[in-house]
Amino acid sequence: MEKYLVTNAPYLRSADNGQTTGIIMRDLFIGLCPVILFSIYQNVIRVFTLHTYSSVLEAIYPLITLIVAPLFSLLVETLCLFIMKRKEIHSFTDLLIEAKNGFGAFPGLFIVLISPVYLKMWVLLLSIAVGVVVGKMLFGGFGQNIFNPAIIGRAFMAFSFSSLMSKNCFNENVSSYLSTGNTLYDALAGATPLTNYSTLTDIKFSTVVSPFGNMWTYLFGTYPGALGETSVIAILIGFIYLTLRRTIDYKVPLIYIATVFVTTFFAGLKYGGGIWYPTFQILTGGLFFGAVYMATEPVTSPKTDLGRAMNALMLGVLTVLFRLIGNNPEGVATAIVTMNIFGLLINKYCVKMRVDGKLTKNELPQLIIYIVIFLVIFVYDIVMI
Amino acid sequence: MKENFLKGFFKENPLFVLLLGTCPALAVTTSIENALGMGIAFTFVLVLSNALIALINSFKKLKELIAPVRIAVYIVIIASLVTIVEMLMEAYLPALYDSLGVFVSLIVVNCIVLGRAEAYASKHTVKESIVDGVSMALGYTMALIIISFARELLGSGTITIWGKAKLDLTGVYSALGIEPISFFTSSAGAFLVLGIILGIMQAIKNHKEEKNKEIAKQESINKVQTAKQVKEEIK
Repeated sequence: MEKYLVTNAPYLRSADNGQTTGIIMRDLFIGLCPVILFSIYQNVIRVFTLHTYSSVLEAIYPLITLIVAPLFSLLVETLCLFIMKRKEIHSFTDLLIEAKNGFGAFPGLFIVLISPVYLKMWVLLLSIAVGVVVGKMLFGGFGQNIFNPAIIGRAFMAFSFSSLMSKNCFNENVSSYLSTGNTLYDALAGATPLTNYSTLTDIKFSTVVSPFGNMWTYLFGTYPGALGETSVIAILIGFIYLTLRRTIDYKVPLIYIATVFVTTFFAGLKYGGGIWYPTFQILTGGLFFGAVYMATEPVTSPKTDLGRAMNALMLGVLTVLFRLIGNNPEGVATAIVTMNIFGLLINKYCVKMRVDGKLTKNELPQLIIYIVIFLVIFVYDIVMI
Repeated sequence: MKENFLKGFFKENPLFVLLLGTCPALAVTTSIENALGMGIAFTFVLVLSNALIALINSFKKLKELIAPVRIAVYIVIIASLVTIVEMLMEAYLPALYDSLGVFVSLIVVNCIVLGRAEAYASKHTVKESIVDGVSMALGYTMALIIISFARELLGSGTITIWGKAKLDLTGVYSALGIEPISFFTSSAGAFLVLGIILGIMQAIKNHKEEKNKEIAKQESINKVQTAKQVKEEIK
């Protein structure tokens, strides 16, 4: 290897904070630990203590996926590097250094945390392979992808295996989101609070919130849902750690969640108002997980403060639109992928404004048009729902 | 002649190299049957339109006469041919006509047909134009079949060549414990397949170019060495 190792973006902000990419990714992993520990508690330890499992394999299956997914993701990335960069890689150590700089375990870890608990193993592994190869390696590896690889993998899974995704791989009659610790929810039509919500016609506190418990259940996360995204408390602990370490921009999750809260508050007026409706909307589904760990991802999110604020605002608006008007019960992943497309555009204008202080005469009308489009969508969001 | 015929397959393949006509390539390639039907309709239109347009342009006076409105003239010719194909298909192959839908009539605005008319047929003889049309149409059909093979195999687990000549591989899938990936039957899957095929073609091209460069380098080195040897011998 050369004396000076040249790595890919992000370097700008890591230099701001005096951190290297390696330290950022290590902090990100530490920030994920509360979520991983909670999901192990919820889906493995609790199942063991309740004695509701039919086989030991079923009980430890979430743990197996949590270990296998990152390793498989790393393996796929190393294979890709071996094929794509075979001219630059002369020895096994070179390959190891390249793989270490790619942080290949993270897409797999994120995909398994936002997937159903008892998903069939081959579906999970195929989605990870597609996410890593199509979402990351075809763009040139770590630091050059414009889409979040984990969400690409998750979207591929949702588009390809929508029927398989809801099937439990151990028990055909039970939803894949249900950990066996949650058997008391068997009678419900939808598996998660949001799928239940999307099938309802009569929206009331007693039909939307009560079947799964009360607001504290949503806060602690002991309700059926994807592996890592149920517990708001665990995610908040991770959020505080990441904010203190300055790994993520704390404003992004705050603006994102606040936008969802405000817009769904207006939407909730139709159902008699009250604070329960927006609270239900922000606490369920992958909103907190997506806002804290995915909308703030250093590679794909915009690079300036203004750009990140704009991005977060639009993420909130789009999430509510996808959830309430579209037929997508979740909406967070789709919103983040959609805003990733606009990342380049937002960067272009915001970086220019930071460097020059103002825009040229040609660019100002363009920017105004984009802002008007954003505003129209925002107003539509509040008025129509 | 031989080169003119072979160029449509790899060197100037309309879909993989010129990237023309991607719209039907993404829309109708859900099964090999559809791709073959599209290819047949396309071959008919392209060969005849090339021949007719070359014929018109072979008369000098006629060529000067239509020069200002030639695109409109070409479109009229192509549109009549497409109408013939559409009517024939509706009469004799109604099932295929239903599954191809609007994309048969959309051959009119397919870039390759008009592109070959403007770029090739208007400047060459009738015979050359027919060979060009056959080559381009077969190259396009081949590209459609490659894409549809990948999409049908991965997306629905079958290989439908024509009608009942169908190979059902869903049993193999279920024996492996997996299911076909329905993502590939959507147009997003078609984009992915097309992109991967383009990437592979480019990789092969790059590999060939590098090999040629190495050979050229070796030859130049050899030349210099022989020149030196000759000089020494003279001394």
